Amino acid sequence: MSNRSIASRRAAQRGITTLLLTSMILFLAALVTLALSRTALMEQRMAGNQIRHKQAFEAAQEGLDRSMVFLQSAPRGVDKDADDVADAGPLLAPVSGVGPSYYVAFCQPNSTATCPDTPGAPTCAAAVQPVNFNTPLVVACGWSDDLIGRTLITQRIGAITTLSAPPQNPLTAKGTTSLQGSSSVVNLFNNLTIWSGGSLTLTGSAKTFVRNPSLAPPAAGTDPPAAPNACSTSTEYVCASDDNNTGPDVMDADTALASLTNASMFENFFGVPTRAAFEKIASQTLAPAAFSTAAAGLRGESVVITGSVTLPNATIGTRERPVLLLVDGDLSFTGTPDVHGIVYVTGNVTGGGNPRIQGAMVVQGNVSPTGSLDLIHDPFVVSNAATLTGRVGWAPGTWRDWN
Amino acid sequence: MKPPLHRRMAQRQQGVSLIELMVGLTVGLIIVTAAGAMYITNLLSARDTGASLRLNSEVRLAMDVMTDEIRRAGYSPTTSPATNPFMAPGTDLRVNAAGTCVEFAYDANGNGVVDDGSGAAPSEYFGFRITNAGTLETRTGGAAAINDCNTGTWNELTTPAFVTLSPTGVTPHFSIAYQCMDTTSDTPSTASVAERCLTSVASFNSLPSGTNTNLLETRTVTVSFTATSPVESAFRAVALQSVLVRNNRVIPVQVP
Repeated sequence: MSNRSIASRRAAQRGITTLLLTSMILFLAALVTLALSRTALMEQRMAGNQIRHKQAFEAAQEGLDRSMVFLQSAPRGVDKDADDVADAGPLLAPVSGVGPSYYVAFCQPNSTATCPDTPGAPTCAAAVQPVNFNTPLVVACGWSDDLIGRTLITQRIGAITTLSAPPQNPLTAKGTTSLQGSSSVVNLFNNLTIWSGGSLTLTGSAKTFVRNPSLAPPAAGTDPPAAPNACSTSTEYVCASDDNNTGPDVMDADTALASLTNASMFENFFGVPTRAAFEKIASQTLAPAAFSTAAAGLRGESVVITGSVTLPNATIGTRERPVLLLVDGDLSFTGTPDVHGIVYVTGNVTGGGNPRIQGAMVVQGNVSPTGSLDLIHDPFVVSNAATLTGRVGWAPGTWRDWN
Repeated sequence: MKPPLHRRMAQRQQGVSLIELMVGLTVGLIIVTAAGAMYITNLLSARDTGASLRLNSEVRLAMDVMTDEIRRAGYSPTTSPATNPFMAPGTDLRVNAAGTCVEFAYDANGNGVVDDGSGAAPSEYFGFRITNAGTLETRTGGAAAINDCNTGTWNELTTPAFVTLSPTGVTPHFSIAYQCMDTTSDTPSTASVAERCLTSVASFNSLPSGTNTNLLETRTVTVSFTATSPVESAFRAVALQSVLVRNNRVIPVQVP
């Protein structure tokens, strides 16, 4: 009995050594596995972050691409409702667990913007001004599907310059100029009103105004005040020419202008040789009937009108968002069209109506309207029409994805 | 009757039989050996898994850093592309002839000036190169030029202790695909041509005499490399990614 118990105890002791040794080895193996699993978890987190980063980035980039479509869809620009406040940009609201989301805002060029912490529209440091409604800074914020990853991408919009030589005076005509009724040609900014290749005739109470020498030169961007109704002197203006007096403000029978071919005059002005070439720069090409329908809503557009047209009784363009109209034919008026922008006519200006054009008018033929034509030079409008109305696209070199 | 003392001693030390001992030892040995073998296997596989995880992570990090940076090449707040100082010769994106290095510049602080690191602002010349020793290096400063991938200060992004890039020395690691397109001329070609916008290429030569236009050059940089783990050289990761440089280059040209 006692022999067996001693023997079995000895056997048991040998078993304990094996057990301890084995346990220790297994314990070490477990430690190794544990350490490895920590590494693997960390690796998984890093891979997850990478996917979030890519999702957010692609979402923001999609926001940018959508914005270009938004900007180019009619009516052009980022103020579709014409309330002088930029619209909210395109967005893809987050749907839980389904996919990435993005929000877009339009900001003033050269300003900065930030993304909110939770999906929502980016915040602009400066709100976009009406003059930049066609060429804003586009800010897109993208989020990954779990809303943890966030990316900001900004890019600027640029417009093709539509004019190589913006006009410096209210009325330029290669042919003859004949104004009647109570027409007025006004230039507050320099001393040239009418530049005519042919003869100039002012009948009725047609007259021209230049700045009163006692008034200091206006600051850039000044909105020219209204001129007197009759040929008289006001605080801002002096009447320079009328039916019985031709002042130094008009340049008529200028052979240098008259001897230009239509093609070279066109190219001097637009910088491209033909109408077909300009159509690639202009934002729209419209038939006369289509233009008459669309005219009242035009803001910040350059439009090629493919034939003779009668300007409808409408307000076309604003000072900040003027229009550039290329009329390939004759131009006449009905009612009292109020245009802010530049009107270029390849034919003649004829017919009745009492239009008001703030900006400039350039005519390849003769100017002989039977109504009253008011032409007011405004360099601010001319410059906006030349630089902001062309076809838009991403400005190269302005893409950035950091703040 | 009590047995004599020596009998009792002999009886107590009798122990186990030889057979018992051998069987016990053998069984114990088998168990310990099995556990030990399992431990070794476990350790080796943990080492391998760890090495491959580390390799993946290093390769992904290197690729992400490179593509994110290369994508930004040429950024400038300048509105006129013709005066963008970050795409002029000397700052424009460039890959060396061997394809082991890419250099570029962009306006990181948006001040419109190419900072070369001599002032307070950090250098805006950037670059990546894969050395013969198999490390990825990034340019962090130095002289104001992009020319030979040797100018400037270069710092290691990876270390041979964790990963060796391009163990076989096969190049190129970087290559650029160009597309050149005429944007504004009277008769723009609708298709873009896979070439650089230079004054000797087809897209330029096809323009009518007297044309005054802008050529648009898009750049796609392809980054590719193999990487091996220093732990086990049989572990190999192959990375390949193309990145479209978002800031296209515009080259105003006048055909004589």
